[in-house]
Amino acid sequence: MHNLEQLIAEWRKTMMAAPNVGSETLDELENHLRENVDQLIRSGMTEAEAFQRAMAQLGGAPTIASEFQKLDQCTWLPVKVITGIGVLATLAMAISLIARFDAGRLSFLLASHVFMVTLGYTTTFLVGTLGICFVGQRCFSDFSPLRVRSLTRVTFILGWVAAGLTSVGLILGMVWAKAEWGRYWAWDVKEIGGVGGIVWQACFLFAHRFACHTARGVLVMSVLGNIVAGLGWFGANLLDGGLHSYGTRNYSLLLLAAVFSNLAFFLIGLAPAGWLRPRKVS
Amino acid sequence: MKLEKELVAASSVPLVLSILCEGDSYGYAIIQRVKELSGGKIEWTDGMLYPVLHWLEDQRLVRSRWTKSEAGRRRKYYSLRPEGRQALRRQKDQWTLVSSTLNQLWRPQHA
Repeated sequence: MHNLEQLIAEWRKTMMAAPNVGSETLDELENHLRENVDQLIRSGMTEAEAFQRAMAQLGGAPTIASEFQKLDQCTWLPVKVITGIGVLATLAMAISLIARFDAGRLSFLLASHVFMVTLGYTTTFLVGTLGICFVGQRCFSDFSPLRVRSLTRVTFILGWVAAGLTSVGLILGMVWAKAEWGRYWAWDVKEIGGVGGIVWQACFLFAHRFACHTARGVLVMSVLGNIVAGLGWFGANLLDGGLHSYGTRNYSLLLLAAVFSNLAFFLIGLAPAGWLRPRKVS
Repeated sequence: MKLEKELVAASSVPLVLSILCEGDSYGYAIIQRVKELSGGKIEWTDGMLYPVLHWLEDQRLVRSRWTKSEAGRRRKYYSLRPEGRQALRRQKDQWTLVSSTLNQLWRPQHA
């Protein structure tokens, strides 16, 4: 049996490289392969012959992957909308910063820092908005495992984008601060908020590691990202008149409302799926 | 006689729904049941069944659960939802209509 285990391990490795085949599907296919191998061995084949035959009957990785690809073609509407908003926000920010840079009001380093950090926070907000849409729709009907898997993949990619942008932005900001203010780090509330954002994004990506068991939990959890990014970005201005305090309006009530409404969405996300679905009267 | 690829693909959904209507089942057993019923004439590439099962689950026609077999092996069982039964009824009507139309056309006097 050792040889068979080795053959199956190699087959699994090949299949894992194929796109659109998740680990749960792979478990299912492996189970199928093993059942078929057992049956063929019982019919008199050797282990190696049985494995080759079972593998041929199951089909190659590219063929199976292309069949699963067909299932993934229909993207959930909020994902499309959020992708569109993300692209527009990036363009708008790039144009605005290029104009300010061109007018000599921003240095290249500062413009890059602002661009990266703002996009990082915006991406965190977009992931959180996806989480709100997920919670909202789940109140009426549960998502299929296929849809949850695809959403988890989207939030995982966006989570990496947010973490990458915020981290690079923070480092650029430190380099700029050293040149302008003479120090890399000043323990300013906004700087701490930025670190808080990165810590949150790291936790979110870590949670994705276990997403095959708690995918719904991870999607609900993404709502909390709105609170972290909101406090780190806007809340810092209210708490401190420090180096980054350039906000003049007092929007503490608005921020408080945003925090509580996101908390409410998070709590609603813990309720069973379909709890708002109208019941049939028998 | 081997069925053409297009017909195999088109019949996969009603076949799977009908087998699940007999009781809960899993991928390998579904394929064996199709082979048994068709006398081995309907041949699926085994891996092609799973996208169909996942699509049916996505459409909320079937539900799945992992269980352990007597041999201790994990199996993903599929069962029909009420929506799946309705879909099966619609499929039955459509396939019966096609079959009866063709039967009328292929009666001896037409052949």
